[in-house]
Amino acid sequence: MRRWIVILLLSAICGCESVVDLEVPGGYQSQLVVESIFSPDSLWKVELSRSIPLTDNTVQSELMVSGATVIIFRENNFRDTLWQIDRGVYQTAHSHRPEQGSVYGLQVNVDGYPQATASSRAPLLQSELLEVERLAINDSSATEDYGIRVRLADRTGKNYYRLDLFQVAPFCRNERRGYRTIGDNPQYLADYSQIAFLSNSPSLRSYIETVDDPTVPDFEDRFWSAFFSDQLFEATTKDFKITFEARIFESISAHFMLTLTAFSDDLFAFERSVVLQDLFVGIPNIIQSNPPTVHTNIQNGLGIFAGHTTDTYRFDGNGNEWQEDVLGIGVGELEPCQ
Amino acid sequence: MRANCVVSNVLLQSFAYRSEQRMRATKWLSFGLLLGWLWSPVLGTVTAQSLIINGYVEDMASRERILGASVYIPALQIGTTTNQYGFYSLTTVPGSHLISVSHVGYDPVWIRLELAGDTTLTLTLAPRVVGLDDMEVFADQETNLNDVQMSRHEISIEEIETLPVILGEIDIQKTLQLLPGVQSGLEGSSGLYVRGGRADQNLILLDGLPLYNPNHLFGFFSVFNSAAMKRVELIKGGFPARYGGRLSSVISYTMKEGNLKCFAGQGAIGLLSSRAMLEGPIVKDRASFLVAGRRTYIDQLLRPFQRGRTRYGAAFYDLNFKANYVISKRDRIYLSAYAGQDEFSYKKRSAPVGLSSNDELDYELGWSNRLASLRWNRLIRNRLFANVLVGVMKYRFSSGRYSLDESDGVVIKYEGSWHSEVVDWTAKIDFEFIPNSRHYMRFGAEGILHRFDPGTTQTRLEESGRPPVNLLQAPTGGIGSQEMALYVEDEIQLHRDLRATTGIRFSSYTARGVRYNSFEPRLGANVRVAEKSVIKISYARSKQYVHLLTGGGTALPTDLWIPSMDRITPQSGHQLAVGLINGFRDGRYEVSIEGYLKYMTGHLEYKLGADRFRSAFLDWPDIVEIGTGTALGAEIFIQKKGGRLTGWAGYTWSRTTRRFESLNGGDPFPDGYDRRHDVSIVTQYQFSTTRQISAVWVYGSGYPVWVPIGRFFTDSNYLLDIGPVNSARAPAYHRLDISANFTKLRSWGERTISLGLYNAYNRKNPMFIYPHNDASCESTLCFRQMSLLQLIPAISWKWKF
Repeated sequence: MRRWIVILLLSAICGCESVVDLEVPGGYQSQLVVESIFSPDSLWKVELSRSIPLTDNTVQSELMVSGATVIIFRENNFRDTLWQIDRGVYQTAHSHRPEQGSVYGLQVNVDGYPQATASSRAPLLQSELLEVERLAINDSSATEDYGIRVRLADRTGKNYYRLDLFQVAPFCRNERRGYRTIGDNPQYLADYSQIAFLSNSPSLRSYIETVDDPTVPDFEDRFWSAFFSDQLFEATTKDFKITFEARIFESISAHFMLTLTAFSDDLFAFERSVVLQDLFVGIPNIIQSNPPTVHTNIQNGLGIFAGHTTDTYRFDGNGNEWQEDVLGIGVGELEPCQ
Repeated sequence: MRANCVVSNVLLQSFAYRSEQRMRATKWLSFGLLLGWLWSPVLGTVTAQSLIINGYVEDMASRERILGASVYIPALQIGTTTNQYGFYSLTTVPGSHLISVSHVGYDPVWIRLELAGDTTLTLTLAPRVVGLDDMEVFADQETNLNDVQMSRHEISIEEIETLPVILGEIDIQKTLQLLPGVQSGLEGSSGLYVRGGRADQNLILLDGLPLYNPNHLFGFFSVFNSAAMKRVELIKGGFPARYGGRLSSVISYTMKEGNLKCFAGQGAIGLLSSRAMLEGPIVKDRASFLVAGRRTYIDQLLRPFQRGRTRYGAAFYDLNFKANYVISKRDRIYLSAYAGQDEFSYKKRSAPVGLSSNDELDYELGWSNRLASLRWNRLIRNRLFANVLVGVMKYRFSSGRYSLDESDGVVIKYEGSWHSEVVDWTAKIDFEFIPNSRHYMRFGAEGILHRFDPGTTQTRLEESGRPPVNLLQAPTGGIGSQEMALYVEDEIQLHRDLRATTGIRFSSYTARGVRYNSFEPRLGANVRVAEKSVIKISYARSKQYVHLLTGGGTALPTDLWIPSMDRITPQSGHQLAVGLINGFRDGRYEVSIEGYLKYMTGHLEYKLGADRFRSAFLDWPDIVEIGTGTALGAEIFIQKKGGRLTGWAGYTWSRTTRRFESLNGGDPFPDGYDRRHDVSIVTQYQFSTTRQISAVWVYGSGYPVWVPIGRFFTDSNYLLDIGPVNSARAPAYHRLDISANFTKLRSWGERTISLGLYNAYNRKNPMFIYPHNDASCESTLCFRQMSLLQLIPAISWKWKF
């Protein structure tokens, strides 16, 4: 009897979902969407598209905006006019690359939209790979343990960073599943495979949205990408100790790549807001809760024009530096897996 | 009906004091007359021809003091109502007077008195034995017409207990939501958003002490057990100077005092909880007590669904206690206490794998209210009444996580807790002074010591072979603050057809070395434009020194109370209200139309991207921003007070906006609870003395929703253009609730069976709305609505003796 009462109660209280038409104000005004994330390692490139009403099903390729005049400024001085190389894609014709620390401006003029402007910089970054050490070889699991130490000289002010670690691995094409996978064959193409690492630093977080959250326990089992701020080492030099477990391949010896990225303020805010919005879609939300807005620094538009600087360290199992072309990374077609 | 009570047939018990010292009362004016010059003409009007008749109005059966009872001399067209302590005072002239005494739920009495001097008289009313033909209400029907106070509602607990409710759980706050100008927030919630105000802007008083979180079960039930309550009063505007500290409303709950004559009790068994109340004399006619309790059994109902080694549950309870002692005919003391607790828990014990693994995981979340007060009523002189109150209130929210992982002999234990706490120590003294028939003065002082502990965090890690590590400990600690207020107000009969209230409240607040002072003028007038028609107007300025930081407008127990401090200014509000009240057909019908305009400053919001968990580690002013709000509205309230069919209909048109510099480009935007149209129709029909049905229909146009209105791409990211704040509207809300009550008289008392239907036509009202992209959407993305609380039957069994 009691169970029936409970079932009756719960069936009455339980939720019921339905698609609803909201009374949304009409007359959506399309905006120019700018995307340009630059770094000293990249050529100047800007993609332009337009935003559409929520219920408009136009595909992405149809949203690109052509015929625009895209100008780059450096420290308020003219630097370059980008050429359109594809529909909505504009790139420098002069091999111009951004430089660390310089402030760059963007100006976009296109018919039908107000002039869009933005400014940002690729932040200064000063780091050093201090040490690489092979800690142990685990025969049973065919893995090796490594320890590395990286030094970061933090700049004054609030800064955000990201650490990523990769191992060069042999990849093949899985015909049945349709995606690439790691094998172990000298015929296979070498490419980067992101690997997890451990750190004793209390600053590191696994998710960008929790970088500033002190209640997230400052110990993690493993990081794939580690985000952190300089809150605990403001304007000082900080050494990070990282340990990781690498697979032993017969076809490729141990080669690794560590990247340390410094975000500009706008880029970090943008990346964080994109993640938060992604979490928002599809999750029931109380009516009055605030939806996360994607950060933009574009005046009269949407999107992002922001820089980052990445220091890349390639080292082998003995701590020696290596060059990409030695392993032929990313060159050629993947072989089918055997 | 209290079968065990021997009801005296004496309709009037009086004890009179001839006072020869009435003029001495004026010396008490030296206290509290901060603006004495304003009232100096008052004192001059005390003449030898005037005399005072005062005392208390009491329930004949229990000697419970009756609040809001009408005492009226028709021949002179003068009258008054008892105050919140049941005290009345009338200034009249010597001679023979016919006095009417009445109150809803009691048989009115008429007494003739020969008055030659000041007289103290306790008047008693007998509870009405309801019959079909005598369901009329007499003089108190005109209370609202005579009262200068506007925007005030009082609903009897008896009436509340007969209205349909969710799952048969009687909820006083949910009944208040049916009044015009009051929004409920989320469906099923006991939240109150009054005239564009926020959840934290209601001064919710339980026997004179403020409560910070009046909710159980995340707001589905309020903490007020109707069995223990005597009266609830809601004031939405024109706040008297004696109230302060909140901007939008005063909701004053008064607990029953306890029967001085005999033992009585009541109880109810419902689908989710049960309640009981017992009251009776400790020393007959001298001291009495009341104790009431309520507990839910949701945790027990959930048990059949729990499998394996996982346990979860939710429960709440509350206890009310009150005792009073009649020291003398002029003195009485009261002790009130309340304790309530909510608990949610999840416990998981993993099954051991071999002998090497044993995991434990516990989550706990809960909040509690504790309150205790001691009150002393004293009739100092015939013209001077005093009330002294000291009390303490503590509100605490806490959540915690405990985990234990054991693997290969290595044990890792993690304990984390987060809590928020508010403690208020309150002391206040209130005086009521009636120098003559033209003036009714109140003055007093209040002091509150606040202690806030918002968002204190602690985590601890223990690992085998290593010393324990305290990973985090909130560095801010508690914040102490002091609030003090002085007030004086006077209700003046300026002309036969014009009465006014003037008052001023001075408040001072100190926290972290910063002081805020404020003068808060309060003005009101009642102009009789026809025999049964009055126009009322009021203006009130209010200050609020505490803030509730919510994560997006919806008040939850996890929200943080923080005090005003440096760079966090107090909330400030101005409200102007105008109303027309008209009585019809001997006062059985009353129609009131009110309009209001409010302007508020000092609203707090988290800055965009700020995280409440960071708040304890940062300086509060750095993570919040301060905004303003405006509210404009019109309310129509039609009430039928007598006959078989009683009830009311309310309609509200309102517009509420907020403005913050960094939100919406600095432009004003609709508040989350901005509802343009709101309708409530409440009816009760009495078939006989033992059978009655009630129905409630509510309609509200859709709440604002802040939604994406466009989309765009960057790289491969599919992103949403959120658009202006609260630019969309959710679907309208409406539902019909019905209930029927069947009462049987028994030798020991009476029992009532209540049957009810909540949301009788099964309307799917919006509770959550969120964007979604799946096959059910005609376009790339659509909105989904989640509805809770559809057709819900209810049954409860009540008894009373």
